[in-house]
Amino acid sequence: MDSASNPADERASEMESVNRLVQQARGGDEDAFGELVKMYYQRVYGLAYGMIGHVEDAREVTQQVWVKVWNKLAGFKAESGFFTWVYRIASNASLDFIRHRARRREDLLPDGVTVESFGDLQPERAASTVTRPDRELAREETREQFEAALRGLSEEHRLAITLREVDGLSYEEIAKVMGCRKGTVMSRIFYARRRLQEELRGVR
Amino acid sequence: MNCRDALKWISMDMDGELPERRRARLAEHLAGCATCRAARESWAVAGERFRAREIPGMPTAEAAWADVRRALRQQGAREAPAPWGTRLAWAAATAAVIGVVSFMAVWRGREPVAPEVAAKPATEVEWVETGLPGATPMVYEDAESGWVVIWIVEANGKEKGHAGS
Repeated sequence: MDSASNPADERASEMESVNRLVQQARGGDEDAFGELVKMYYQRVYGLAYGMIGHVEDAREVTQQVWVKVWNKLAGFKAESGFFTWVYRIASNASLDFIRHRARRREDLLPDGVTVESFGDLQPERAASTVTRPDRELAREETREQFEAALRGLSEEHRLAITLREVDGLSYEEIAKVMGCRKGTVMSRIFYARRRLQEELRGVR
Repeated sequence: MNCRDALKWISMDMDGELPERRRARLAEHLAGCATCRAARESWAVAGERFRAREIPGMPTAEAAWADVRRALRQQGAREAPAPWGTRLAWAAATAAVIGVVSFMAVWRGREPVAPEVAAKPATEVEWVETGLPGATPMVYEDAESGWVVIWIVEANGKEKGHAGS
C-alpha cells in the first residue's frame, strides 16, 4: 500500500508543520496564525455549515471559532492535535448556535407548532430548481431527501457521522472532539447509519 | 454470528476500527447474508453522498483569513496571547504588589493620626544638630498646641526636649 495515500500518515506529517506554526502563533506571530486559518478554515466552515445549514450563520460561527482559537492558543496543549482541538471548539460553537437558535424560534412559535415544521430551517439551496432538466431535478430531489434525513438525526449523531464521513476523523479523535467515550462514538455512528438507511430506503 | 453484531462490525470496518482478528468472521457472515451486504452497500452510498455534499458560500483561504483578521481587530483580540510562564510571572508579581499594598494599608491604619494634624501642611525642619554623638533626634508637631517639638534621646537613654512655635 502506498503510504503517501494513507490518511493517517498524511495527518501525521501535516501535524508536524502545524505544530511549528502553532508554536509561532503562540508567540504572537499573526502570519503563522494566518497560515493555520488558511489550512483549516474551509474544514471548519464545512463542519459549521453541515451542522447549521445556513451560509451567513455558518460564516459567523466560523469566524467566532477562529477568534476563540487565537485567544485560547496559550492554553492549547500540544499533545492533543491542533485540528482536533479546533474541531472541538467548532463543534461546541455549532451545537451552541443550533440550540440557541432552536430556543429562540420556539419562543416565537405559537403553542403546538414545532420548529421542525418550518421550512426556513432547511439548508440554503445552491441554486433554484426551476427550469432544470428532469435528470438534474431528480438529483436535486435525492439531495434534498438526504439533507432531510440528516436533519432528522440528533445534533450529536449528525456531528459524529459528519466528523467521520466528511472529515475522516478516527473514533478516538471524534471522542476527543465531542468529549465522550470511544464506545459512544461507535454507537452514535452506527445509529446514524441505520437511521439514514431507514430514511433513505428506496431513494436512488 | 448474528446480524445485529455483524452490522456493528460492518460499521466499524468501514471506519477502519474493526480489529483484524474479527474481519475474517465478518467476511464469513457477509458471504452468507444478503441483508447485511445490502446494509453495507447502503451505508457506503450514504458516505459518498456525505462527501459529495455541496457546501455553498465557501470562501477562498485568503478571503477567509482576511475575514478572521478583521474580526480579531474588531474584537480587540489581536494582542498576542502571552505564554503560560509569562502569565504566571505576571500573576505572581500582581499578587505580590497587592500583598504589599494591603500590608501597608493595614499597618498605616494602626497609627493614630489626628485628622486636623493630617489636614495641616507639614512643618518643614531643615536640620537638627544635637552635638551629642550617638543621640537620636525626633521632630514633630504637637497636635494640640501646634508647637514644633524637637526630642533628643541621648545614647545613654537620657531624654532632652525643646519646643518652639
